[in-house]
Amino acid sequence: MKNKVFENRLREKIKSEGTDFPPKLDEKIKFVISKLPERQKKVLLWARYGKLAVSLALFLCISIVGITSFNLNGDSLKKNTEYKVDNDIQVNKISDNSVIENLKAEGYVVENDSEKERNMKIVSSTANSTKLYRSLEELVKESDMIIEGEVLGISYFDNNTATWTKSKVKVIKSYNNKAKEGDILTFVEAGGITTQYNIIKYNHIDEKFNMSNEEIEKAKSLKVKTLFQDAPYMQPNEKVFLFSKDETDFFGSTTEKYYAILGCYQGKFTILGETAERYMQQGYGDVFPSLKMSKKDMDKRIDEIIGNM
Amino acid sequence: MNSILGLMKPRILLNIESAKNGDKVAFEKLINENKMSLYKIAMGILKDYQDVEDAFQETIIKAYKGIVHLKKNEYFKTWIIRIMINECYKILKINKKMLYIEDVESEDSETDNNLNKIEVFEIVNSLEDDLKIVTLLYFYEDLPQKEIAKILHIPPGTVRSRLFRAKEKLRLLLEYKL
Repeated sequence: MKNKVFENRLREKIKSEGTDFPPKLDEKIKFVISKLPERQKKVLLWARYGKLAVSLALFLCISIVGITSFNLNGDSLKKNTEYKVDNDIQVNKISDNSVIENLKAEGYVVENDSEKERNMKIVSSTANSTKLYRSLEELVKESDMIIEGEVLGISYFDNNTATWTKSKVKVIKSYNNKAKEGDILTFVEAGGITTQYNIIKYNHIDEKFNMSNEEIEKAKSLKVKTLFQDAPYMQPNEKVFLFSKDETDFFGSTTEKYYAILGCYQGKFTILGETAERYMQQGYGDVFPSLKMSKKDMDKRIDEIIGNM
Repeated sequence: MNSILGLMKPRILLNIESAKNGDKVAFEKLINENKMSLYKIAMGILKDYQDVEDAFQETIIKAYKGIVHLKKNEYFKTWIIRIMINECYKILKINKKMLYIEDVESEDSETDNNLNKIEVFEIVNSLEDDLKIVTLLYFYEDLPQKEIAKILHIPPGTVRSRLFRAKEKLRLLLEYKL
């Protein structure tokens, strides 16, 4: 019998074989797991919230330095409508009061409320990326819209058993002539705030664990934060470089274009001071570079790549 | 949604993340999803049920402790199989149990006359240890040769040659049945 034929038949035979798992071993497994220590959870909770705490501390430090700078910069304090952005410090900037007010009226969050979010439960899911964008060239090549922008407001919505964050971003610079400075575009990212009830329904948890009606009702009012691969979604006043694709059809929008960040979070670079950097999932450093660089270099590189296309 | 995010969304990865966060229910689900594979491999190496139980216990404990350090969630199955194999070899070392084809064949002469009743697994089980483990991982777990090489810490060339020898032996024993 030829090699390949034999191999295929062997696989078929193996698949057709039924082997019973010994019930006694099942009980042993349950017993061993029941005796596993709980302390691991505490370590992991610290590992998870420790990062959040450090990030928050960093954010607070930057804010405190910012406030101090304002106090020293008498000129800035005198202006009512606009604060100049110090190059070294990212501060809250109100660029267009009426736009912000409109967004607020539409239900957008226009102020960074990390204190509120910090107390929320986090549901983090992970999945394999089918595409890794390892270089700026790859991001530029696949993008429909590339901008440097400032996030004016965010809102959350659920679509197709997932939670999304919709960000209104004001264009500071457009790189591929698809938008102009001052335009306000809508970008979508995976993750956001939803109710515990939605999480339960999307994952059929109520059926699996025979949840009571009371528990389900309670879940309708509990807010949870969902993240994909722990990647943070955009926040109001954040400055960003965004590489995105037009996914208006997917979301079924008829009133405005929806641009989805490439690779979930891979096409979003947060600008902090003079540096632009994207989120990196822990442990992926060897296959997924952060592409951290100065804002000036990022700007230059994007122009170069587009120029060479 | 896959196209928009560039993501696949298997539920098992959700369980892995939960297990990393200390969720024992999620961890138990992961073990249950892989228990048959682990059982066949452990039985293949150890043959003794009591030893298999011990190997399972050690594997579960080590996996629970070590899952926080698992960098790539999609390799969970490979990772836990590697732990199981290592535990099995530790037990073998302690017990110094080594079975060869000749021993198995002479133990039960009925098998010679009742080949029709013996399942493929039993025949695979009768192979030499180094051939048996690659056979189990390749045919039963459908793992690629490259991954088998990583699990067993041997070069891919060695995996290929062992598979070749295993197939030749299995062909002799099974060809008329397939």
